Amino acid sequence: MSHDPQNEVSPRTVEQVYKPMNRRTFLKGAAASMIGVAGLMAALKPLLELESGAVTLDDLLQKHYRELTREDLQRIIISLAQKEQREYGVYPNLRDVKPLDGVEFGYALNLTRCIGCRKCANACLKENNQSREDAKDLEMSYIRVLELNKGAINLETSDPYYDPALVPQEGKYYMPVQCHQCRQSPCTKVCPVQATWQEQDGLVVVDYNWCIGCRYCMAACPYDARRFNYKKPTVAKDQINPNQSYLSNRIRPKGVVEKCTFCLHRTREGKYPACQEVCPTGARVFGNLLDPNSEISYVLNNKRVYILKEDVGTQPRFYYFFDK
Amino acid sequence: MIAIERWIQRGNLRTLMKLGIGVVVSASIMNGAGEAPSAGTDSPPTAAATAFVTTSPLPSIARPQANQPLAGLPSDTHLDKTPPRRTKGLDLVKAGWTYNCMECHKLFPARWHYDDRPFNEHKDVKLEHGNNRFCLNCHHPTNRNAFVDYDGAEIAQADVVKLCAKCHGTIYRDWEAGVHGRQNGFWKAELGDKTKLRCIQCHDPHSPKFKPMQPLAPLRYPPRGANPLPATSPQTSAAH
Repeated sequence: MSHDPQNEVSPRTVEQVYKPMNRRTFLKGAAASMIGVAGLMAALKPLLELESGAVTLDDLLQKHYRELTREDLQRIIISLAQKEQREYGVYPNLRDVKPLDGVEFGYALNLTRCIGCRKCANACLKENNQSREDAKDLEMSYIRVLELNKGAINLETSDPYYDPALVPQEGKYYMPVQCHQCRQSPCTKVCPVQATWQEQDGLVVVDYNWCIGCRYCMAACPYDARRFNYKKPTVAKDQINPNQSYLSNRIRPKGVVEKCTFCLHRTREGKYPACQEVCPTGARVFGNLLDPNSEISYVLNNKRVYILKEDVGTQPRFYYFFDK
Repeated sequence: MIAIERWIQRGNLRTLMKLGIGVVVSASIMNGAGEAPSAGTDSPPTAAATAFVTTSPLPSIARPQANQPLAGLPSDTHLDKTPPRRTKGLDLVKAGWTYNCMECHKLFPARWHYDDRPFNEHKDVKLEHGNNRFCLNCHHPTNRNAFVDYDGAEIAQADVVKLCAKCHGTIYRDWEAGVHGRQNGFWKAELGDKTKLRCIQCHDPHSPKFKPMQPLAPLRYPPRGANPLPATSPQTSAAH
């Protein structure tokens, strides 16, 4: 009988078999259970906030915007307004503005007239209650004004950070880019929870209470029109625009995606959007695509119109045009 | 002298004019204009003061910017409502004179061409408007309160767009359609009014090119893949 080392049974002590608690195993176990408890606490944090009143049961159990009854929505809006008053010190005129019948919004921008003064981008910050006073804040204006070289529309060589003493500069032209409110919108198609959709008047909106912050829509958007709230917005009390709507410019929570809504709280009440209001050259033309006598229809019928990234097939409701 | 200035700045100038002394004052502008404005000893040596010859009894008047109407809805307190064009306005108008050009111009005949620009008013007017060389290309020869049409008819000041439309027909058509020029207010007529700026509220008629302006500071956008382009070599980014 040959000696086979595989069959050899080494003698094991009772301590080796039963692995009693020594210093090392105790510390390992303690660390693991601490992590477990911390994870559990993190998972239950909303319930703790529920207890403290920072989050209400309505917030946790809220349905999707389009499934809400009128009463539920009204209750949620009041609770959001109260929350804003607690956190920012201003009780906003928060409401839900519904689309107008027979209206499909369109926007056109005159590339011959735009001088790149960035007033639209700054008005957007103010209108939409975005962080702006802290130098470390990102300013998430929905409008990026690109400086391009004359002779081509080449976004690769464009520069959104131009800062000369005077604009327009010789040999340059300026192209503000914002949400194009596409008819075939890639951003709404990729959303895993349908927190973003097209409204009846063509505006692509986000339900900030439903968004989970996965940022798929930002990756899908060919115009870089969406912004993510990496941190809670900081707006001074006297700078808050109290004219707010549920789907547009109410102060967003941290961790959700937001975007240009053509200022629906203004435009659905008949006003021009903020960027159009401040444009000093009148380069921006806004109106109802379904009205044949509107300004936007005049542009589409009579001007040379350019569609940015037409080849990606998004069919935007935002057009660029030229005077000459 | 200073006392007279103060008395006039208190708003008594209008009364003065109504009493008929205005003619004397304007005549003294005419006389004093030929002299060099070096006698400004008892008034502060500002650019505004040199516009007036201080030996004449006319006061020196600071030239604040004329009050342009704000553009935009009054309810939008958070939005920039700066009027697109800042005008200086006429000195005498700001001093209380009624805006009646004929009060001076009945003394000055209409001429197609002045060899020099002798008068105090309009001294800063420099005509850089296409190939227009003469005041009377646009201004009416006998009624200075009006502009002149093709056939010599008068175009009222309020209808200045009709004057501009004489040459700029396609832009006038766009403006009528609401596609050229700044518009504010309501896009939907049933819900509110729309304000439309007229030509000369944005363009200086004597130098109509829209003036370059200082851009607002670049915003700090969230980075998305690419960092800000290096300001020195924009060509490098095109390479990769």
